[in-house]
Amino acid sequence: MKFTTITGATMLELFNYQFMQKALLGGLAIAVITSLIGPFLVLRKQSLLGDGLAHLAFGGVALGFLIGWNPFVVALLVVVGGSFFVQRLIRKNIYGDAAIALILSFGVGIGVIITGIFHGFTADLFNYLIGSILTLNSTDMALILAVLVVMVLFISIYYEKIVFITFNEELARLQQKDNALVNFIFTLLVALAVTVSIRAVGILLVSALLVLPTLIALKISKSFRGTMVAAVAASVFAMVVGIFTSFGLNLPPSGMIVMTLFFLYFFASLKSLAGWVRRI
Amino acid sequence: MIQAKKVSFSFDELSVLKNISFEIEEGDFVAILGPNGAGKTTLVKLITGLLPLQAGELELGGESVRSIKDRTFIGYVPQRYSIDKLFPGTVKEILASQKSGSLTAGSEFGVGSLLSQKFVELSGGQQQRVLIALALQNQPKILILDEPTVGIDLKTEAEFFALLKSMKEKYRMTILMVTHDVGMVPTVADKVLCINHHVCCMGKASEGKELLKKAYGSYEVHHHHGSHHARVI
Repeated sequence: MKFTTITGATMLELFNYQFMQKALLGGLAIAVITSLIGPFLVLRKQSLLGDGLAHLAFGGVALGFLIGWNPFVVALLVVVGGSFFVQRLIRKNIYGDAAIALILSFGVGIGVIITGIFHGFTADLFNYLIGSILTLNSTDMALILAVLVVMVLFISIYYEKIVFITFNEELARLQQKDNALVNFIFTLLVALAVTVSIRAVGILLVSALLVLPTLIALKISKSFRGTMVAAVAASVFAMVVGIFTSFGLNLPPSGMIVMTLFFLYFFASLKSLAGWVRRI
Repeated sequence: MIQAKKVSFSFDELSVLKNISFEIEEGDFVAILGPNGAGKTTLVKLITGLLPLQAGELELGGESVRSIKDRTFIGYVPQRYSIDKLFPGTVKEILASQKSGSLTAGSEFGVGSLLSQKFVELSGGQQQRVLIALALQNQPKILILDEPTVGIDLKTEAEFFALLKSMKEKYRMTILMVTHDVGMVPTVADKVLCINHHVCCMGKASEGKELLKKAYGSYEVHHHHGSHHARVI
């Protein structure tokens, strides 16, 4: 495993490094992207969709290496396809978790087969499994920032409509004329969010970025908007703390980001526990 | 207003509705009665278009449900237990999330004082009022309620039915209400439609108990969350 160490560098000096600037900017963008879509996924009981799609991305990344294309772009295409396939399976009355298991095992199966055939790229593939935010290149950055813009635009335009779908899907189908379109774009954005967050925390920990900020926010917020704001704040905080502490402690950033989220969840739980005790 | 001709529906091999035919006139308040698993919710979901019509014909205002694109003239109040317990939205956010309506409907149902509260933290009766306010925001011609009084105490239930009656007169709506609550039916509904996979009876609500005896043989009174409910068995 490759660790990054900058001996004697102060926190401010770290900003002078271009790779660090990219890591922070990309990381913050990914934190906002995933925490904007996370509350809708969790409350629509699709928390594990991110995990399933991320594992499908493993197959896409391996395929990218095999055919010599940018693995990130190939993974994106595969995940978009997989995302719509899962929604179709769910509409056909297959249980959501079973549909996710189906694409998850398919992605890992393909990935393992390709890895088995071509031993040469296993180290690169490993980077996608655990994340490598410190190695973001210009293509990655462009893709991440483009997804951020699309996500912010979609949430701003359709916020009320997705809140209504999350409140009750059947009511939304009856009373929103463009319900199908909103669901289509939502599905597309989930795929985009999953693929870009793979760069930050890796395939194995994607669902942490999608789910944990929402769980933290649900513990402390008093409204839907409050949940969104708190989820973004928790995600951004964990991203910054995770990246910097990974330098200080000489540990992988992805693990530190997720551990920071776990600590935040723990403290948020204490707060709600205290509130519960007060109410008794 | 609502015309069903030989409507049948099945989930895979399981037949839920067989040759259902009935007619509901504009302005009627119809209670849909029947035992658990009789197909009541399936029937209202076919009327709303949430389930696709498989066989027979179902018309709303003379138009087939198959060809209706804009369903905003249907107000639907789902079972309140269908709302996720973790949903963090306030009443204001929920009412505002349905853009086509306005928040003014809220004051009529006594939800004005609840706007800043989380929906999931309200009492059962308050939640039901919010769902009704939401369903009426588009000023629907048809209002469909799926077991609206389950888990609500007797006093709140009586208030709820009084509210429903006044809304019906004010907005001249056709109301369909799925219920187990046979006892309250004659006081609120005009007609009853009893189903158990097929239409068992249809008639005036005041004759409901007699119709039910004929259709099902008997009914019993049991206690449910502190209130008396006659339940079709």
